[in-house]
Amino acid sequence: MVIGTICAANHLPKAACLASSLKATQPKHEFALCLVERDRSALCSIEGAFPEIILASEIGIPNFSSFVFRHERYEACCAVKAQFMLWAMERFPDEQDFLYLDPDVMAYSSFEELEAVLPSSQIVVTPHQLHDENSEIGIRENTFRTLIAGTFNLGFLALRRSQAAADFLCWWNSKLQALCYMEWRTRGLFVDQKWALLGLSFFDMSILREPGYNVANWNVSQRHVTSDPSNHYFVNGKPLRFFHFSNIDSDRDLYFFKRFLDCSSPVFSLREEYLQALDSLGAREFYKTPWSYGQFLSGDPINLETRLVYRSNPKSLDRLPEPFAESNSRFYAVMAESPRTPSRAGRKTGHLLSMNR
Amino acid sequence: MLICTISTISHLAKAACLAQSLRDTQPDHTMLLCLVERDKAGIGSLCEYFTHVVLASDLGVPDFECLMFRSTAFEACMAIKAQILAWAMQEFPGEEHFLYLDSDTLAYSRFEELEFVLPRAEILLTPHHVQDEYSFERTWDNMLRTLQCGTFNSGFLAMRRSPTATSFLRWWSGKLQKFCYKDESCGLYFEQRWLDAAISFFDFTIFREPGYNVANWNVASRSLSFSPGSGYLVNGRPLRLFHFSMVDSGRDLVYFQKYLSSESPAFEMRQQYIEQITALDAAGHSRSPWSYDFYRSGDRIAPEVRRAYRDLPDISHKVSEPFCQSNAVMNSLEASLRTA
Repeated sequence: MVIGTICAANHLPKAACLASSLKATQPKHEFALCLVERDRSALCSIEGAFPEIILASEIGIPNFSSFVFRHERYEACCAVKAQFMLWAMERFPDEQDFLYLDPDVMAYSSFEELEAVLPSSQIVVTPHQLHDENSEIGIRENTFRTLIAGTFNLGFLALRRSQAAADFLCWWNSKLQALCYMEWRTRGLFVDQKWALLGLSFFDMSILREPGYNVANWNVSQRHVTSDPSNHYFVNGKPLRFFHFSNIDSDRDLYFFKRFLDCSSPVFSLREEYLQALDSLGAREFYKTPWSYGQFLSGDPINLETRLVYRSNPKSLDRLPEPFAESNSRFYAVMAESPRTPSRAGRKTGHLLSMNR
Repeated sequence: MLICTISTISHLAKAACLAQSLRDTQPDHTMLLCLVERDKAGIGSLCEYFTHVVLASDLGVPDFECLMFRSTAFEACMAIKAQILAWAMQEFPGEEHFLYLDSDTLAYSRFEELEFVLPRAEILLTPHHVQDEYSFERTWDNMLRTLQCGTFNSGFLAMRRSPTATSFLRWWSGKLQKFCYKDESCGLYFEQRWLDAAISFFDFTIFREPGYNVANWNVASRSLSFSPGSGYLVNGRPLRLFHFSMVDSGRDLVYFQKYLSSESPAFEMRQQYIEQITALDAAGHSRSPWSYDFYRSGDRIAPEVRRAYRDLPDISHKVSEPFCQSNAVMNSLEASLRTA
């Protein structure tokens, strides 16, 4: 199996913890990190944690400068996901199984159920929720978040090398390269996740409904985490396979843990252990690392508004194929008179960005 | 098979048109209309198009009056979608197969593929798209709408009597009791986005036949044609069901004009549909007000009062018979709750 993760420099300690936890729990596997930075300089001492590192600019995305300029850091890390999986399939031609995990995931035991399912499934996803929220507060706090974010959590995606998986990745890639943004309120876009859900229209997916997988703040209300004296963890009585420590940086996860868990829940100590592991890798310092795609080549930071103008203009690639060479002020001068993205049917002209399937 | 639809009086001509098209194209079946009105008085001669007519208030929906008061006419019709299917399963024990269709759909030929698949499945859903919208512009125009409205179109739901179908309908009905409206801040889109959530808990069969549920959101990627010998075709195979969504506002035409050649049969199909429903509307049903739009006094319910009744949880606890009130009383109650 090939297991891959994607991050920018600020989350490298998380990715390192993930890699280490997989080494401790999974059978022999390949591990690859896709780093969404200009170069490998930010890796420093942590480089040894990753057997294979590839830069996002090296995985085969066309017009990469223009592509990455359109995205904020978090969006860019999602937008390269499909291409990264395609790259992995080419890079490891003898491997059959490929697993993507978000960097803020920690493995606790071997993914036996996944290994059992993969030979007969081409695409395996995990839903945010496996059990219904019965209370109104659960619906408002958890279910609504899932409606917004998409049924499946794409911090986990498993693929079996096959025509179906390749077709799905090519299709998904075309959408991610065009519209992988966090614009859920206005357009229903939730980076890569809503597109993966829409993929059900065209591709059969196996929905892995194992409670030990992808436990996170959005579903702890329905997953009873326990531990035994040997520090083995269980979820609804079955072994915990991996925990997804999403929203840990802002402490927002704590809000949901405190809301829905008893204070004696092992989730709190799991979280504490995770934070200590991150700390030991210098997470606090790494977290402050500015994104190398966050500034122009001049060193000036790129304003969010500048990115949004570039994103929404269908002629961006033509007018400014090397946007990082510009500046905020010159940017507006060049882009000011260009028409914006077609917003509704009825526009006579529209930029056709054909994607290769 | 039992086929059902839901309508107010104002959309009855469409429901009758659908019923007629099913009579013309499908084998013998039971046609059930669920009428979302206080009584059946307004149906008139259109009742002959339906084998059975049931009032929404007779479906066994808990707190029915409160649900009606909370909802616009459209929301109310969507909110009972799960319940009508559950009710039909109970009331027609001899039926094995159930099909819900939105009232603005039209059958063009026998649902052969559905008849083949349904005995082997439990719940069938049709996605809005079965073929990709390749270009950026088509993705923008057609697929973004789907991201907001839900992967599956709830205008077509087919079920085989089974424990899975029963569980699903019970689950869906529970959600629609309180959360059948549009609110982007919560990811809600009436009853339809709940189908996306349902995938987490229930196994559906995704019915990807291009002849079904053809509509303005997917005409760009389905090749519609007409042949004198075979009738209307989609990608060379028989058209089964067209969904004339947004025909009243004319918004569907915007998409037809942008994405179809002027020779596309969609335009004449649409024109014929409008003529058919106009003819069926001879009695003027489309001008009928919704009977749940009024207090018992006859005064019209103000939209903001409906909104407050939906959004302020305390208000519905304090007023169990909202239709017996007035706008003045409800506004005053809302004001006191907000300042409390």
